[in-house]
Amino acid sequence: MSRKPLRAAVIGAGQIAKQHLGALAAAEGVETVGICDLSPIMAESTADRFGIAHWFTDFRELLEKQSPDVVHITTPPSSHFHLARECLLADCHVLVEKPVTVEYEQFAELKALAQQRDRWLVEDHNYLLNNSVQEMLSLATTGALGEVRHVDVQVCLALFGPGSRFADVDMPHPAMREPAGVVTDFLTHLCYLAYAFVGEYKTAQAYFHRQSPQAVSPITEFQALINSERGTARLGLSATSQPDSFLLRVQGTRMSIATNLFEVGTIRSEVLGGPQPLIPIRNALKRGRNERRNAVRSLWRKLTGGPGPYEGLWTLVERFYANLHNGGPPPVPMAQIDAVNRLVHEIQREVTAPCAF
Amino acid sequence: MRVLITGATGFLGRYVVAAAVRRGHSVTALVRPSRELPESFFPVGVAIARGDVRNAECLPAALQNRAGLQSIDAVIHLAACVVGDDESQFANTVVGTENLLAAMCLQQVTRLVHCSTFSVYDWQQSGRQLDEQSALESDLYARDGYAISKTWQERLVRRTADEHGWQLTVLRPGFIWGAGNELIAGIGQSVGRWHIVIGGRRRLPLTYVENCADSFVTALETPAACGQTYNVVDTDTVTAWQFMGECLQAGAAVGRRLYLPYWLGIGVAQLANWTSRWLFGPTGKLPGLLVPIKFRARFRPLEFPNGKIREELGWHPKWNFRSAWQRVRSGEALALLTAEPNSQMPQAEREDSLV
Repeated sequence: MSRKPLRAAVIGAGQIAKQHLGALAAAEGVETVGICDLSPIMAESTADRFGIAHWFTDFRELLEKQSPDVVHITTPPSSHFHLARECLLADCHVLVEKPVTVEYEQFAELKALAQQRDRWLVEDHNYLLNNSVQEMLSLATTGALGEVRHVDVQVCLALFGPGSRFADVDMPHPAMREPAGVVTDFLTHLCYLAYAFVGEYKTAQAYFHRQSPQAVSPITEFQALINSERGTARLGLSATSQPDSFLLRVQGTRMSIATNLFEVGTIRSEVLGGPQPLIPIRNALKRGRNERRNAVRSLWRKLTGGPGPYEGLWTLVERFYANLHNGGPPPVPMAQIDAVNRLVHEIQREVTAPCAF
Repeated sequence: MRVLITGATGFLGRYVVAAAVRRGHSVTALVRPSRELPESFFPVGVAIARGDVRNAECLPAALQNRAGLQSIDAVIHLAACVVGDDESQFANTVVGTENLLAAMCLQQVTRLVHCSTFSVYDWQQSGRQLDEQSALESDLYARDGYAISKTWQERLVRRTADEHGWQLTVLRPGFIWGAGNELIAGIGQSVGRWHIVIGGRRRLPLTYVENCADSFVTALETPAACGQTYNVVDTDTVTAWQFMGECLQAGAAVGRRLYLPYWLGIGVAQLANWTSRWLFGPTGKLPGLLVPIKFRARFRPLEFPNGKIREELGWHPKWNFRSAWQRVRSGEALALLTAEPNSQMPQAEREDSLV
């Protein structure tokens, strides 16, 4: 049975907008009716590339003329609160890039507004919907992991290398204007991945390391230790370590499972039967087989030319519109967004008093 | 003429600044605020305006020459981003140009010489030669980020110039080479010490950087250039095999060259493309060298006439291939970058090196 497509619009035509537009093009039951950017040429060229009939430089004009059902906000974080508020007031559902707002209080205001107007406010927690994370969550839910005790989330990227926007002092990345600098851009990812496995945080202790003792020097290393309701978590970012990786490891009482979110597949070590001394060897052989299989799958994924590591975003967008059509729940629950942002802001508060390692 | 040059610290930009100063123009070089320059980076007399085309706020001031007393007469726009991912290149190159054009409107600067590229052409549709009449790329989003951003940049420049009745000249250089930038992408692919020369007998659309810089100043000075588009290539016929040989001989590269016929390379790319489409459909992704449209845009054997710019502007490449290599090896070209205004090469030497 055919259904009337939902009308989607995107505000912000930067890098991540291309992923949203790709996901919208692949999703069913949705039509992209407009794109908006402060730069006319960015708006026009993005519309041309993705076959969108209308482009705007004023978001109010977009809302008024196109009457979208859903607005994707993919602008720098400092504009999220204002834009999301206006979109909610225009009775649009909102899918906003992380972090949903710069201040927690702003998020609380948006949350109240969304509930008051019966609209969805969804923050992009895309990596949670990557296949490997879904596999890990399924193992945790079914009890195959045993009881989850600990989660490690660690990003290693050469963020200050040549050509990097984080290193560009003439046109700094928006995150570099925030006290936590480069960490701001990744912190939400780290926090929602931890939340998914060990629940809401009780206490958090963060450590930041700068390239030099000067306060204006960029933060290059970050670690946080989290004590949560169901276990502990260690969140980390290194802007100098190589090779590039986004490692998630979940430690349960029966199994340890890990993935690199930039690649495909998981690696498991588990409690096995048989002689105790042979268990590490059997696990090592199994891990070797998994690594080979994952390498082939990663190559295959690159050749298919799909969303790559953004597969979770495409799934999120697909579920967003499917659930909106079917009366299902938002793909990211409000309680999760709330808990994650409380942790994000708790960690960011600590940056004003950085501790050396 | 009072001229602002964007991209002035880039490979081509430095030579354009030097050429404009030598020919008596009052030059302001737009330089990023964070860029530290040695005192002798530009010739004496060049004014430096600190600013970045990506930052719209700083540009109107940059278009005021010499302590804001007089407005700039013309802009030579060379700034473009060639590093980073496709999205960053687009945002920096095209939005930067958008900012510059807005500042020109504000300051009523109406003369613009814009640096485009051979990458904007449709290399598949071109017959036997690629000239100013050749079609522009029809399948733009199948090309790389550089081609996409430069095509949109040129579209924007033309549209704005038409809208405001500006005097616009668009120059499209081929592969620009010179000291420090000898290994151009049009030769082939290097793998360690092995340099695979693709289609070794085909002619390269080369322009030696001093010749190219000279073409920009000539276009600036020539009223007949307004409203025109010119391809900039030197007159010599130089093959890819020959050029790679010179690079090895001059020490710009180390190793050995290998010959790969063009037909074999494009055949492999076609086969890879068909296989990808068969396995993965239209979304299939391959390395650039195995994408036929990108392969052609780098290596397709064509003729590259330069008749239009020679006849209409009287531009002649001052340095032929042989003398250009001599200048690269001897360091003469680099020395000239910081020379005093009007200090030129001796007359006899210049005439000797004319093509």
